[in-house]
Amino acid sequence: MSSNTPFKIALVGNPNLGKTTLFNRLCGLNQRTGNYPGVTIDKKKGFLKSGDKNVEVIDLPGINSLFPSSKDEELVVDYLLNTENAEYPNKIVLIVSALNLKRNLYLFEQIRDINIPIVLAINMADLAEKRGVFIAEKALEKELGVPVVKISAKKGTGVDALIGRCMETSVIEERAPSYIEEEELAVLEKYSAKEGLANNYIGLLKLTTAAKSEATQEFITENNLNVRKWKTNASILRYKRINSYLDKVLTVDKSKASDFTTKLDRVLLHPVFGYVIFIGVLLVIFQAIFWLADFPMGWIETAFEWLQSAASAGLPEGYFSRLITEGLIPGIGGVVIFVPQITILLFLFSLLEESGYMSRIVYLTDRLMQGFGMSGKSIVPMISGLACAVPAIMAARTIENSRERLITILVTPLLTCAARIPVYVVVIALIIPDDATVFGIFNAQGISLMGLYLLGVVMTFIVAFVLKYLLKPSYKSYLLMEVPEYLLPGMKNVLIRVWTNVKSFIWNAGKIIVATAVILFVLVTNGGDDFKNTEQYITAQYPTVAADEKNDLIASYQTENSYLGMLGKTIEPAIEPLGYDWKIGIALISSLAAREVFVGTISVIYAVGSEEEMNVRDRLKAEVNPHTGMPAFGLATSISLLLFYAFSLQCMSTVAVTYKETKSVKWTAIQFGYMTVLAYFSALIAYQLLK
Amino acid sequence: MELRLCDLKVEKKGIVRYIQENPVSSKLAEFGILPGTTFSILNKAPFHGPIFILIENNRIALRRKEAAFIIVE
Ligand SMILES: Nc1nc2c(ncn2[C@@H]2O[C@H](COP(=O)(O)OP(=O)(O)OP(=O)(O)O)[C@@H](O)[C@H]2O)c(=O)[nH]1
Ligand SMILES: [Mg+2]
Repeated sequence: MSSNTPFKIALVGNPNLGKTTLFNRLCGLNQRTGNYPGVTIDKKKGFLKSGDKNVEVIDLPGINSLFPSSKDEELVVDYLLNTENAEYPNKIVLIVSALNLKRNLYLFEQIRDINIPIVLAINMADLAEKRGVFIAEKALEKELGVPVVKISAKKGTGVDALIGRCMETSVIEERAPSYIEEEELAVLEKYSAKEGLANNYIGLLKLTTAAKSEATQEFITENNLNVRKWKTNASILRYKRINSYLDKVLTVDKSKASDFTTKLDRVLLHPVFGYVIFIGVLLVIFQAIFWLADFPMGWIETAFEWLQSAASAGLPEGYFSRLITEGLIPGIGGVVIFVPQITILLFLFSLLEESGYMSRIVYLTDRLMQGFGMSGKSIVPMISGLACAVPAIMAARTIENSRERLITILVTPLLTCAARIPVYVVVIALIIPDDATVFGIFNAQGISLMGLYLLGVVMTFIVAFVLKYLLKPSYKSYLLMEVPEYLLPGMKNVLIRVWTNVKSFIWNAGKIIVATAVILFVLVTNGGDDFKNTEQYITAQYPTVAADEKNDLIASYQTENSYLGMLGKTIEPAIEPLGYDWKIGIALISSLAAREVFVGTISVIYAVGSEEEMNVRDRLKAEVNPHTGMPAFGLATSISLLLFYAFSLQCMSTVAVTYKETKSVKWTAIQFGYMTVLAYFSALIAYQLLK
Repeated sequence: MELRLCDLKVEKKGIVRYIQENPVSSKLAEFGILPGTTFSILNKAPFHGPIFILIENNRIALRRKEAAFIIVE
């Protein structure tokens, strides 16, 4: 090994055992974790130093076995079987949980047979003690022939010892097969020799995979093999082997067993209360977003107003200063103000994920989701889609059935993601007063926001239902899922999740907003001849008006004749039937790449030329549509706007991730197309009915 | 008549006798649903939803369709 290629260690194990928690601890990184299977869905790399050696650690999605049944599992199995790959690990840390040793050792037994050096890490050592589970490491080490280390990824105990054992040199040799009946071994050997494979187990995997080569298929027919039976038999034989040594290494003090999970499940999975509680949990989350976020939002608003007046007072008059006070500050402020709401949303979601409740939701909703062509597992991407569609669409990888997965991907962006919150909140505030309540206790704005969430959910299911009939059912849809114990949420994990997401929200939105704010500002403060001659024109038109009023007239005439105004006028015919003036049109276009830009754009367009510092909402309320003479944001326009934003796919990241996950231009286009059509026509109908 | 796992009521305990061959039989085996293992039914979701079982310390959710292949006593 040359000194510049690092020593590579891959973390492999069943889902939800703490691989990512260990990875974060080893490499000081902040990857997402959660107490349900299928949190990690992609390969992630990190680095550490052991002595003077560079070590690369690779975190992988959890797999149930080397017989993959979903996209995320396929990725791991391909990685582990492709020995030619430059990224191939030098060593595998196979993670098992002390609480579920038998089942986790099953994967060890499989991976052992592809002959790659392994260190076995027994995680959850902290919990094992409390539950009276005792594992004799030394005895297990002898049985398995690989180093065994007890760790607690959460507490950090045993992690150094683990690294130490990983750096030891070790050799691993082919062992007698324990996965096939003796009389069938000869056929398998024949196949492996024919294919030139390094070992027989890889031969078995090749024979049983769904994507067989032609030669393999021929071999199967020729020898009249029942490979499915082989597969099942392999599992049975492996468990037999594990049973043969398990008693020697594992003792469980039954008196310490906890039935907390079972008791809690009796309530949370109750055929009636289970669902009531589920709805209740969602309700509490959305009300909390409003109640709790109110104060910090007020502070941020005040801070930005102060900043704006300080900047306009402190900076010299001029173009550049106006760019800052009228372009950047309101643009950025328009988004930063939503950070409290998004933080609370993510915090509550992470609590759900870390507690183990997520898998219960899968269980509770599976039947319902099947009616819509999806699986209970679709609920995980969908709930995460309430924060952001991008990770949500990736999370659909854990759905085994390709049709269920495709439907989930196609409908997820209809769910109300965090980026829609800014738009919704601003527009709702225009049509519903702050202090309005429903039944005297619920905040009416909060209820409206919830209504919009509900609308997103309803539309998601309607579209899924339609897709169910359009797409051919593929056979083999099943649900087989391990449900974790309830755990107290690890606060560190929760905070990591919240922090990384909020950071990326601010950063990504911030980048686009600064760029659009600058472009818009330049476009709105420059123009052709009409723009330049505004002053003469207004003076000629209105020779008698007072100076104050004249300034207002000049400002609005200038805006309308700026380059931006000209652009807006060109698109006006297309959006006029929806009840929008050209300014809203510009906001729509500029938020094509990311919805949250809407508020920033609106702030910039309306801030330019106005004398006083007002917050966005007051400014929008005061705005008048020049054609109708009515408020620019009347009830009809506002509702139409809300519907448009509810259904349209204004998010380039989502388009990109759908393409990446489906690898199909067709489906990416269909997703974008149906959502745009839905948005345009629902907005059109709403406006025409309400105006 | 053979007793299938999906026919059992909540809180009933049993032993897996054998598993009829089916498209997911190898998956069932991998999840430790093997002849001779003891289990108990923790919960059944309404409207013919999935079944939640405890099998050798493991909580597993599966649909009725799959549970119908599991012959128990
Ligand atoms: N008590 C305890 N809990 C742990 C320990 N390690 C991880 N956990 C918890 O176990 C859960 C799963 O952790 P993850 O790191 O997301 O598991 P993973 O193996 O990466 O899961 P997938 O990515 O879904 O395969 C989280 O809720 C962790 O807080 C540990 O040593 N002790
Ligand atoms: Mg993980």
